[in-house]
Amino acid sequence: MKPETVPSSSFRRLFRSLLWVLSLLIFLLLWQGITSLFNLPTWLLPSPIVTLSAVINDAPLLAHHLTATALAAAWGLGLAILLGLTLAMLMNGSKVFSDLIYPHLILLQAVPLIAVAPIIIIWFGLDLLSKVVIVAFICTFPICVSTYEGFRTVDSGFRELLDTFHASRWQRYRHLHIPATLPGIFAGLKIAATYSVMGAVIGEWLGGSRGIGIYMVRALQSFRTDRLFAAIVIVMVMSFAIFKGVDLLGAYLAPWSKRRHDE
Amino acid sequence: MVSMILEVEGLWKEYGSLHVLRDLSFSVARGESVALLGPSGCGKTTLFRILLRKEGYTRGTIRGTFDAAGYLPQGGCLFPWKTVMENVELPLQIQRVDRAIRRDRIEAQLSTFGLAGFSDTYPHELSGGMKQRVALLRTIITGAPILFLDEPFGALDTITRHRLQIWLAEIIADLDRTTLFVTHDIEEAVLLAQRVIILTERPAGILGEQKIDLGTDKRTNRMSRAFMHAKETLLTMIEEGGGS
Repeated sequence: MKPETVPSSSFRRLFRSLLWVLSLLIFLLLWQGITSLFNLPTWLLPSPIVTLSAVINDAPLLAHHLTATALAAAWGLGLAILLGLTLAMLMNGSKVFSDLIYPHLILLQAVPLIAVAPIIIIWFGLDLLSKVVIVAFICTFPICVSTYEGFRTVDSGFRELLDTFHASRWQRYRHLHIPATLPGIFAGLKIAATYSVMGAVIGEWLGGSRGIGIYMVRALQSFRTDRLFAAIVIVMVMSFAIFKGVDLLGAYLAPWSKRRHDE
Repeated sequence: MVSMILEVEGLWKEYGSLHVLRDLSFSVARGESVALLGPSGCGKTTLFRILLRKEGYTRGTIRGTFDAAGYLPQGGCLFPWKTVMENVELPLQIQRVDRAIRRDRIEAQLSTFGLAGFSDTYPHELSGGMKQRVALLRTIITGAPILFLDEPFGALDTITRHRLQIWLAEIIADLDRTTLFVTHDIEEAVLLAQRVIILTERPAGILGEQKIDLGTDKRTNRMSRAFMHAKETLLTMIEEGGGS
């Protein structure tokens, strides 16, 4: 069985990427066709070609803003990983702590970001720090929950076996809880990754001097819809890159979860 | 007098109104190999968990210290994210045995366990029998003086099971450790144990005890007279004591 499935699965992968590229091309063609056919003005719906030329023309400026947004997203995501994992470990370590914290965490997550963001701007200023805090605010929850739920479903047979080895608390995390939960942690991390760029952009909308969000606000104020579309493209590419990076890191750190999925 | 490594007296275990263990008394001598034979679900695993201090008990006394027991849980419990080597070295790693020392110690055992050349293999790439041998190697590698084996071959097919039973009988004879294992397989009990303790259905009590004396016959010959006789004795005891 095995030798046959290897070429066919790599063929399937190629087929899947071809399909993806093809569907994207069809979408772009349709978009271009509609704008040409109905002769739509650029301020209403810029065509893909106009959008692309906006990206190219504004490339240095976009790069200048992009670095700020990427920095905010990355730092925020990093902070969220640190916070999320620490909280999950503390919650897993103490029932009282988890009973105390979990409901508040859910409550906090129920507050709309757009309502909290201005407060964060007031507290942390208009610079990078406030964006990092906003990103961390929305990204901590999915990471914490997926990790905590992962810890709780660790097989008790393995736990008891480690007990008979007299494993310390840290050794139990290292050899059992973390590797067993890694696929779950990465599921949460992927969700958080897509939130991170969005969080940074929303933070920038509310004020600041650098970032894709700032660029978007300026484009909006001058009715440069082509630039808005250019910004959307950049945000999409950035989100996808972070998502893919997390995905690859997960496959590298937890190869056994991918394998089980394939079987 | 023979020195006892484990003595259990009048052990009871109840979960609320559910009786699991009923007045169990038995002892295991140093170096002895003892089988606990009983029907599936009679509470054998619970007894192990109590002996390993994973669970409390209602009444009775247990004498003997198992701080360094080697435990083979039912199903083997190999970590899927660890290679054969990493699985086997885990108890030693946790005891902070130097990496080079523990790896040498394991390398020396790999061929005895039929695992030579497989140290970098992951459990999912191994056959059921090999997985079980990895789990066994992990159980004995610490040099624990007493081994608890919970249904060591429970999940295997008959052919693999037969082969591994013969293999384990030899290993146990060579190791010179105290071995206590639970099984629901009469042949396995005769093959591996010097003494068989028969347990009743739930709540598990002791139905009887039988020394296995195969005389000069080879222990692993299932067709020898002594083997057949031992099997028959056990079967008769189960039938006479069995009630339902």
